[in-house]
Amino acid sequence: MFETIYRKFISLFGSNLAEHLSGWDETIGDYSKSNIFSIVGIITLALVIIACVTYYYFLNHPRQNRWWKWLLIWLLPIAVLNFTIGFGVTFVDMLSENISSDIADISWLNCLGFGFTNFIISALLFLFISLLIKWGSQNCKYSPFIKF
Amino acid sequence: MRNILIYCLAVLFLASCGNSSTQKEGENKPPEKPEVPAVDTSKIKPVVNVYVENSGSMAGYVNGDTDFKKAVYNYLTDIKISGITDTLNLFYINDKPIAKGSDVKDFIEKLKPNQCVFATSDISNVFESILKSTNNNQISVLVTDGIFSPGKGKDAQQYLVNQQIGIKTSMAEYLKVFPNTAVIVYQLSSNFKGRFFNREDKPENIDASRPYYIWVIGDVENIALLKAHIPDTKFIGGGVQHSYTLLPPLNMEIDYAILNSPKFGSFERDKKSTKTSIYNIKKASNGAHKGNFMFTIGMDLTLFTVLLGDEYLTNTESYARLINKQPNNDYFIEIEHNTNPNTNYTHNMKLTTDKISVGELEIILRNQFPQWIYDINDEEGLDIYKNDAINKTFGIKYLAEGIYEAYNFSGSSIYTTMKFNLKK
Repeated sequence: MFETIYRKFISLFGSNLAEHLSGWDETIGDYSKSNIFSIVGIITLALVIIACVTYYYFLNHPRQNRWWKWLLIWLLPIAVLNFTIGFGVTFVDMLSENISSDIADISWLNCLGFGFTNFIISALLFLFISLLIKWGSQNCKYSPFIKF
Repeated sequence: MRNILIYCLAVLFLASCGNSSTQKEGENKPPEKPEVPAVDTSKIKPVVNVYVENSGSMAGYVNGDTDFKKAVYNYLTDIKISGITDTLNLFYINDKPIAKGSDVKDFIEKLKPNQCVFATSDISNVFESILKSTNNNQISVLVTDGIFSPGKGKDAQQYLVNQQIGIKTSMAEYLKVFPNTAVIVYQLSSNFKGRFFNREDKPENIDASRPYYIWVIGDVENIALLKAHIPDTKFIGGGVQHSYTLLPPLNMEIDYAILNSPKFGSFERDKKSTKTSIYNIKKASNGAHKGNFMFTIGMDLTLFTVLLGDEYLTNTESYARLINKQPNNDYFIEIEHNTNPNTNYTHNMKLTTDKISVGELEIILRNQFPQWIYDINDEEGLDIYKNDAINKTFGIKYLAEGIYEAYNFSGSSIYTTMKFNLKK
């Protein structure tokens, strides 16, 4: 599922990096390595869920229920964190030459592209989960929108 | 390491021959599960019969210490010491074989111009005679200049056509009895000092390099072992200039896959068939290759490298391309050696197009008559100094075509098929 979503943004990070993230192993000629799309996707989703639940239920503070606070203090930092994860995971693989030689034509720009993709997906997930769970919050149920 | 390769070749060939014979005998066994006979280490070794043509036109090749003598001596010695055979019989052949014992050294030492009889040779009869003396546990080796001798006042063209038909008939009948037969022709060159006879048997003294041929006929399993033990690179005395192997229809399965690079444009792999199925194919949208799509196939042609030689495998004419069962040349192909040590493929095939055709792509390694035989064929057979005839052989293509046609007539000429699925 995560791979399908990430591959919608393939133009941002390129087909070679996509193959690496899918777990391509040229020695076997198959996707036998770990699927990094799934790993990054699960971490991204987990961080977003933790942040959303904290915001709406554990913190649940009236001073936090402005839309711009939701955006600047919660969504944006989580998206930036996920950008770092996306960029970091791929950049480390690139530097450590942990990429099959047939798809090794990858630069830091591709890694940046994948970080940016994870940023977008993280933001979309944050918005989606916020809309899904906000109704149970006492003080933040109208954040980021009063009505939806 | 070489012993392991030879052992693997034996196993593979026993498997493939088991497959083809199973089909030929019409037994109701599925082709994907051929009956594989166990490798019989106590198998009777084949007898090798060597025939050296001793017509007058051969005298120049054995005049002194020539490359011809070096190459033949070395090849026969290699056969003897390789362990392929326990029995090596030596013959002169002109109109009929004349036994010359089995001592290679003695045979070569006595191989002198005075052993050559000044009579013309009927190559069709020579071939027929050799085939009649060759069963599936014998390997026949014929060393010849391959020149047809119609004689003065004869219609040379008609003579050549008749010879070709004669050779085709003999070979086709032989293949009916021994369908697992393989034939190799090696083209070599040697210094030649003596009388050259043109198609009208008019002699001309020459001192130059001239081509000659070694034909090897035998069961494909024995031929595979012979080629594994004595590859083209082991020939001395000028070495093998060209070679061509005709194999029985094998349609063997090999390991192959679509590689990730090199490529122009992009594609995604079908996860259900990652090696052979791709979709979302797009041409390169920028750069020097804008508007083109190229992908690469990795092929493990180890066995065919031994049998057919690298010259054959890197020739694009050896491969047919079909899309949805129809011949299609939309994809331009190039073949090179695989230099990526992370994969086991021996060769890579690049397929480039500016018009993406989708469907089932089949790439077939087939029996293809080689261009070098046309290039070395002298059609005239009169003036040795005209049209580079000194480096050519009068009528050699008729001899080779006769055998090639017999193989094509006897059944499929497909050696292996690679199938791919290209989807939008």
